[in-house]
Amino acid sequence: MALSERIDRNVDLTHFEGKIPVSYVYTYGLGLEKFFRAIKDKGEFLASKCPECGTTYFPCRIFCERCFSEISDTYKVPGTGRVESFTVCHLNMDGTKKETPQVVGLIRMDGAEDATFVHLLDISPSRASIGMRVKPVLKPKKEREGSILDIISFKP
Amino acid sequence: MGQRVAIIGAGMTKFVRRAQETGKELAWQAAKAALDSCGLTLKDIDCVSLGTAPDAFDGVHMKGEYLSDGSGGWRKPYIRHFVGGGTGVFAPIHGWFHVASGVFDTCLVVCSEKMSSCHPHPQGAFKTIFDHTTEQPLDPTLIWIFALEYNRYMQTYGISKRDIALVSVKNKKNAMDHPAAQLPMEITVDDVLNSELLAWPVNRLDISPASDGAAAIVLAGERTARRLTDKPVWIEGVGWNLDTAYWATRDLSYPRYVEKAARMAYEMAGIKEPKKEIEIAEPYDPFTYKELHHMEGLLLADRGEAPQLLVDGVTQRDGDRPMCPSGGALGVGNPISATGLMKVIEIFLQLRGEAGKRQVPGNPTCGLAQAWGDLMQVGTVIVLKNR
Amino acid sequence: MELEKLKMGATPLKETDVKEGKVLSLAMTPDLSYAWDNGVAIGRYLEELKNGRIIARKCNKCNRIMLPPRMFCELCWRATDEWVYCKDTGTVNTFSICYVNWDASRIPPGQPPHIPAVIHVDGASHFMGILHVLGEVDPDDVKIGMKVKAVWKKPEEREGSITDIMYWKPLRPAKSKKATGRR
Repeated sequence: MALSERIDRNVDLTHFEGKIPVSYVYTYGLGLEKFFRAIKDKGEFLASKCPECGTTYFPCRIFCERCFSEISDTYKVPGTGRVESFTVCHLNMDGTKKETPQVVGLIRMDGAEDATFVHLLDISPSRASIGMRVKPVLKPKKEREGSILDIISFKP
Repeated sequence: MGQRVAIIGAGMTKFVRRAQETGKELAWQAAKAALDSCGLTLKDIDCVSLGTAPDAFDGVHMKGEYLSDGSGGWRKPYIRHFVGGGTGVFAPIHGWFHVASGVFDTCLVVCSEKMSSCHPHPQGAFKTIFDHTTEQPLDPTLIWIFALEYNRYMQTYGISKRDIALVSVKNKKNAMDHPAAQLPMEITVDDVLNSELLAWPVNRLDISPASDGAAAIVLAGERTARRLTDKPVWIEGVGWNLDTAYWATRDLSYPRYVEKAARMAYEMAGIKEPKKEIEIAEPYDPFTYKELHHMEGLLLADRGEAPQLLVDGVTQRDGDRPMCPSGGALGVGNPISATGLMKVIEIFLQLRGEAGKRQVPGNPTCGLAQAWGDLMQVGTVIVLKNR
Repeated sequence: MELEKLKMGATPLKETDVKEGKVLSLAMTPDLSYAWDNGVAIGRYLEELKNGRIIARKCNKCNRIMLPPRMFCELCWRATDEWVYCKDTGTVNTFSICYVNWDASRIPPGQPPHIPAVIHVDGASHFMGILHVLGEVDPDDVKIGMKVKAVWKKPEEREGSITDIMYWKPLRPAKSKKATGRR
């Protein structure tokens, strides 16, 4: 095959099609079990703090990744925070254009300042700014199922 | 060689079919226990070696990165490596490189696996280890490979299923004394032969289970090891070897790649007569016949002779050449990479005289752990001594 | 240290704990679809299967005739030299009688089992085996060393796949009358 011949769609070559037929059920684990139960049942947000080195985590965890200490306690934080960075998405997963652009934010959490958290921002792209204060919007209690989608988005 | 390397601490989780913990939480539980066992903290660790099996089992792409926090990799030189089922013995070999080279003085070696995420079972992931174009269209199950190798092994040496089934009886019984064991059982040869026939000659009780679990050890250079413990266990030889990936073109009756790996490790450890000098071993036993197959590859039995040693009781804990005193993958469970490291931990404890009810008599001084994997063509071997 | 004194992690769950929501979990089926390039050697191999022939590749240094074909010899570490047709007969090197499907579901009672085998194909070098399945044979009659012959799909149904050979059957009719096809 000549080097100048350019094929950028491999399905134009002889090929064999197949799938990797796998499906998964992920357990949340000990740390996230507490975190999502608190959101689902009480609409509360749980963080944790390492008893040894003081590093704070949001969502709460059972161990400190920096000093490896066990973290058995959690504490409530308001869920509010400051936008540390954001991006505006124009494309869907399959490459098609979104009807309305989606703002995604990296949020530094109040009360757990070592942690940043990624979620959707309910704001038009032109109004988004780094440093802006945001708060979470939860689904009504009866619709919550212990999922990251129980938080609809963060809004100013 | 830069310096001698010792294992100075170890820890593990229970092996279970389905754990609530995430893979990182399991890794942390085992790694933390290993550090605690030798009185170290993460600050004392210079580098981290992680072993974990295919990403498709946990359903986490780039498991090395995912497991880094639970493995203690935060802001440290950290490496993940992977040779399928052989990973659990390859991880400590990698750790040994780091310390033996003199570049680092301590290394935390962690192996973690969460196979239960693959739901309802990991067969879909196992299918993809076959060649996508020339084999997968035949709808193979992983068991095919083992059944084909098992059958060829029996045919070549005239071995009966009844003799091979004894491996399951021995290992599941040994596992009754292992506190992490998933399938400790007292069973008979007939129980194995009468268990569900999956792919002749493989019955259900010939196979190790799918498991969740983690294991970890701490390695240190000679001076540090002597400072931290009275009972260092030295890594005296390491070996690994790979055969052709065209698995159907190999001699399926004998694992030559295991022999090559073993010879490399024996030469490094100065072992000339493995049958005499290796007093205790943990060959990899994901299937019954594999323990025997591997004993032969490890030169711990003549070709086709391992079943007779088993029948004669030589490989029992109180026999002359105990094999899988832990209970092995068949009894303790098989969270792929963590299984190999569990075997290394068993030899470590046996050589320290700390194996509790599993302790083999006679104060063994030299032992071996071995794992095997990829598309059944990789052998990894580690030789340990307590002096 | 002793394992018996260790505080061991891993909280065991039953499958029902997950199903009934006693612990939180997330189910996901990723869509992993691929188009694997055939490459040169396997491309020709599949083309020839479509023609009802098995083709191998020869290395003129070690003189091995290799199946499946490959464009380089992994022993001599050099390019292979020529294409060689094999016969569609061979010898069973090892086999299994399998009662489970690839997804671990069981074959219903009364249905014939799968009989996977490693087949050494005539015309390829000694030990050049391929994975395939046997058919038109009673499982009890299968023996290591048995001579077998490929049973092909009709030419118009072949698609350039290893499954263009439906299965391999005994070269000589079996004594047993219970012979069945695959599945």
